Amino acid sequence: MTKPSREGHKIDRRREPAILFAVDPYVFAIAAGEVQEICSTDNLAGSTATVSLPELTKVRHTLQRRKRTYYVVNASAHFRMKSARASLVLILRNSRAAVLVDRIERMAEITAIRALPRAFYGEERFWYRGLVILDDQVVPVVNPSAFLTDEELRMLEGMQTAASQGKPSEDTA
Amino acid sequence: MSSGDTSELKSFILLTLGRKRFALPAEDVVELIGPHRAHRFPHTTPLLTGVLLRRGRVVPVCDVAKVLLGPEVPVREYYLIAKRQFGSVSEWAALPVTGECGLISGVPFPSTEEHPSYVSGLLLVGEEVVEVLDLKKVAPTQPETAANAGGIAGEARA
Repeated sequence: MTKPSREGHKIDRRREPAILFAVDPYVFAIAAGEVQEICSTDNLAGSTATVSLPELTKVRHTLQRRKRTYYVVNASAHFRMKSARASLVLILRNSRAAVLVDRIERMAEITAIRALPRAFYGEERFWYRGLVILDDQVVPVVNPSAFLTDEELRMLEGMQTAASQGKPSEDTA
Repeated sequence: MSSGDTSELKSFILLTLGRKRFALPAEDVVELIGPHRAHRFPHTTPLLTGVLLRRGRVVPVCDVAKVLLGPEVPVREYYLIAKRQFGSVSEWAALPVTGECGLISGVPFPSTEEHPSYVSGLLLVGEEVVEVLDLKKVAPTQPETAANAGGIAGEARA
């Protein structure tokens, strides 16, 4: 299913449904199977708590859902963007992350994910699985595991544990 | 065009950035294209400003003008599609240019120590000395060397 393109990049030609979401001014795609639930921030009152890790400013809240704690990652901060008018939360299926986004654009079937050109060598190589072309628009397909790395999760859990014991964690001390 | 041993004549593409002209080896250039829609998304790689769709390829836009001219860059509406080498793989890159490009032949003079490292030689075109660019050094392909060309900014580029 994976074939090289003319420029030598791999193209994954599997078909998969995707959710297109916006973090203004950009549109991103995420595999629909990676999203467990989408909810409005208006409906989260009472189920969130504030967290504060100076090294990880993209996470400012936790979210309780079905007896599970999710760390809410601000997509705008994750992608190193400035503004954020987030109004929706994507709760990820195989992750402890929930992602704050501006809005859902639509669903689409993506069929050919192209590897990022080699010229890109920054954090985007981890942020994205690749690029798809939808309606003549190039859309990055996000890597869900990039929203919260194992190291970031360890820091957050350490802080939560320390907070519950009433002392600063090693990461925040 | 330029003096030197005519048996070593090479072809170069002259590209224009504002009022200044530079040269690239012709074998590294694919084509010059007109105004094109650039697609942007967040990333942290210096000099890249987005991608173009061209002949079924996703072509990164590599804006070298700030390296070559400094912060005051002119309006550029055209793209020179050039080849960049990544190990054994060649990849296209779109360089925004002002528009006027030409083909010349010449034998480049060696550059001096006073020239930036990305100048691989000098061509005499009329009364103008034109710098021949080594694209690998103008736009490094690895983060270590990119630090010399401006480094990675704290905020994502798009």
